[in-house]
Amino acid sequence: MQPKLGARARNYRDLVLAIALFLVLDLGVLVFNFYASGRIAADTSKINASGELRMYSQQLTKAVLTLAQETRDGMPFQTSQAQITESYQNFSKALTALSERQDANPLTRLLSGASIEQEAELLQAVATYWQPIDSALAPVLHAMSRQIPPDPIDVEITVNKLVARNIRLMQLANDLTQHLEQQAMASTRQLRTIQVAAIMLALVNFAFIILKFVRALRQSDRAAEAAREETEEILDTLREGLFLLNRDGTIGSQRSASLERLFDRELRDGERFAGVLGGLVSAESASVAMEYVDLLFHDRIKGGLLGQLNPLDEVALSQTAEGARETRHLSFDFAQVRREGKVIALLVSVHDISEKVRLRRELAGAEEQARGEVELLLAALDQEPALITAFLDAAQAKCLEMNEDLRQVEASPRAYAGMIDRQYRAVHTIKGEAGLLGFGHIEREAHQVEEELSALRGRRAVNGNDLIPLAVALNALRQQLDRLREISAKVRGYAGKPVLDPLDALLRQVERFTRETARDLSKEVEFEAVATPLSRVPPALSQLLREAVPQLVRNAVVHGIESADERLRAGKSAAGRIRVVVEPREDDLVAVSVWDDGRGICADTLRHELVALGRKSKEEVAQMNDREVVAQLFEPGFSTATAVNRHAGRGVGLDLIRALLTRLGASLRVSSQPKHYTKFTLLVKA
Amino acid sequence: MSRRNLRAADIRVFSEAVRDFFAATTSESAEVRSAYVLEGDEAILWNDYNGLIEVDGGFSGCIAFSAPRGLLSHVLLRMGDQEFSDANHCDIVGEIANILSGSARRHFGEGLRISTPTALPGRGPCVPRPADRTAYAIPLRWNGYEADLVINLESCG
Repeated sequence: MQPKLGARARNYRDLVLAIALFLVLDLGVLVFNFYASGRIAADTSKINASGELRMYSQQLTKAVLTLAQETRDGMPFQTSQAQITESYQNFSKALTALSERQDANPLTRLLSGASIEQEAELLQAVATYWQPIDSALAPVLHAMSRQIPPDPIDVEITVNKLVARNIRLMQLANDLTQHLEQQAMASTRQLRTIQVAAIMLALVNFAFIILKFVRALRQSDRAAEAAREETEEILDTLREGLFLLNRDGTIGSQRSASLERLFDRELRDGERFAGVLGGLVSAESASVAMEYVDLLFHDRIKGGLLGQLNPLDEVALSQTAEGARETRHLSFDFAQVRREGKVIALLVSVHDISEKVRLRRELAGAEEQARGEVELLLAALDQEPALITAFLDAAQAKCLEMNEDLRQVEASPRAYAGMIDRQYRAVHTIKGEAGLLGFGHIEREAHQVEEELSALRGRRAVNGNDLIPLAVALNALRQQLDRLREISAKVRGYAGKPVLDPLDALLRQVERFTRETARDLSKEVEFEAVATPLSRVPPALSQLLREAVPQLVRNAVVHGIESADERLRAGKSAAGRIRVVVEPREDDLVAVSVWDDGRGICADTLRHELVALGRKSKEEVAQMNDREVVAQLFEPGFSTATAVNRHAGRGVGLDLIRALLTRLGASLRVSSQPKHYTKFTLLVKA
Repeated sequence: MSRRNLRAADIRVFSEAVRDFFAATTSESAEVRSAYVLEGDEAILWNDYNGLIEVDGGFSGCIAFSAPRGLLSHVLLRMGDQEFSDANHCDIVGEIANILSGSARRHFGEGLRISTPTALPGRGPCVPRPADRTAYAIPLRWNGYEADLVINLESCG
């Protein structure tokens, strides 16, 4: 930057010097004009005086001749006396004036040269020639001044002098006049030449200034244009978005071309950042971000200190269309731009970090997968091989059915909706059993399938493209099941694990599942399992214990058992109690009951929730008896949980049990006393 | 490219590319039907005409589009072609394979090596498919006919 500054200073110096010269020339011309006009006036005065010499010499001669005549004739001479006095005085005055106006100005002498000398010579000649006349006139004038007649001899002498010298004197005065006129004309020409030259110089100087100024302007324009092109090239090439956020909240006009690509929209000049951001991210994120931006505009706040608080450091963009492929992530970085200590704008850089986020998630996913494999291995070591095999057989069969369902489903929104419900129930069962057996990784994959299904349920019209994520999630679940089968086969290769009673093993799973669910929900639960020994575990009972009982236990923990505080206030023990009883009945049935001492089922509360959820109108619930109201618990999609998590919220648990009971030909009884207990009894053929 | 499983977005790129091809050339979009996974012993779907690209690099495997002759004849008709030769039918699936190739390059980046798109007529021997590599099948319905898009890719890490 230094050379540019030096060149700029030199340009300004030349310009200032040129303007100063222009002013000096103009001032010089002005001063010279004053001098010239004075000199012309002086020349004019001299020419006039010189002319007067001639005139008064003639008048004096005439008056003296008249006086001589009057003296000879003895006539009064007052008139001629007055004329002689006046002519003499005026002649003397003009001569004196001419002598006094001999120019001593050096400039005039320089400009006039020899002409001044000649003027002096001519004037001297007039004076010399006048001198005898002046001497002759003296006695005459003296007599006249005394009012006595002059001596005729003196008059005669004077007449003779004047007559003899007047012609020559007039000639000399004439020469002087002509000389002065010529001198004045020469001076005028000289002055005009000097003035023209000075004005020409001033004009040349002015032209120089104009040229210099225009050249400087063009250079400045070129430099500005080059800088602008350079800036544009940089802004067009930058991969990240870059713009200035003005204090009034608008986006500056200079911004990188990539910004519109990053924002996936066109930007208008003067558009407000808040509006742009509002269209990109959720309303909540935009609101928090604008508060942060306001904070950065405070002059006393150092931007660097607030970096960690930046809510847009990593922000997910809202999906703009249903078909949008993947959530994009952007990172905004803000830097304060200060002038004289005040924050005048924020320099905002925007990066697309979708790839970075994706890679990070994939890394986390890979770690999760590695953890999952260890988890599977540990869980497989801890399980009865028969239980694992039964689970895997059932789960893989369900997955096969789900995939076949995807293959065969008719391409219509209605068919898709039915398939989504079927898949929901199937995957929910897998999830429940996986949780029961402690296969957390499989449970999470099943939960992921549920998530995809849940997203599809929320859509108005599902098309084939929307189902792709479901196929992918289902495939991931199947891969986990395959992996478990491989691990299980390896574990089975190791000898010597004692075989538990199948019923005990199943109840132990239920117990572990109960404890995990309680721990996840931070509830205290005492679990008790009571089983009458059976000669064999019927398949239907096994399926009930694997699929239905965990759902009921889960419901008991989630909905039935109160928090410790609530229980203590109700006069109960801090820990809730859950009891699962398996006992044969006389009529070739086996009863499985799940009992808890929680808050029970309150029909009025259910009525209220049915209305609140929009499932029934007030009039409808008013006409339903308590039994009908409780039966609604088993309808698809009914849930009283306020949030969706691993354990509750989608409303498929009891719906699934109903479907299972129908399939197994089993029956269900529900008994409950609000604030005291709930008991579900399942009856299945032995 | 890091090791990762095929995602829904990776598959959707191809289904949308084929759907858009039908929309652009015939003014009638193909209906994408529910995607599913080909079971372990199932071969890649093969029909009267098949367009294929093979892929190596970050992912390895193939992407195939197969369609019955009737579907392709109607496409030719819509395009104003009156000559229903094998070569012309092959051209259509070849063009679709070409589009799939472009989509793969754009989506997965330059690191992917993609074979020259090939168009194969007839229900002859199809490309082998390793049983442990997931293959997603996406049926597409157009003008009453059904075609299949199979994405059989696996991350090579």
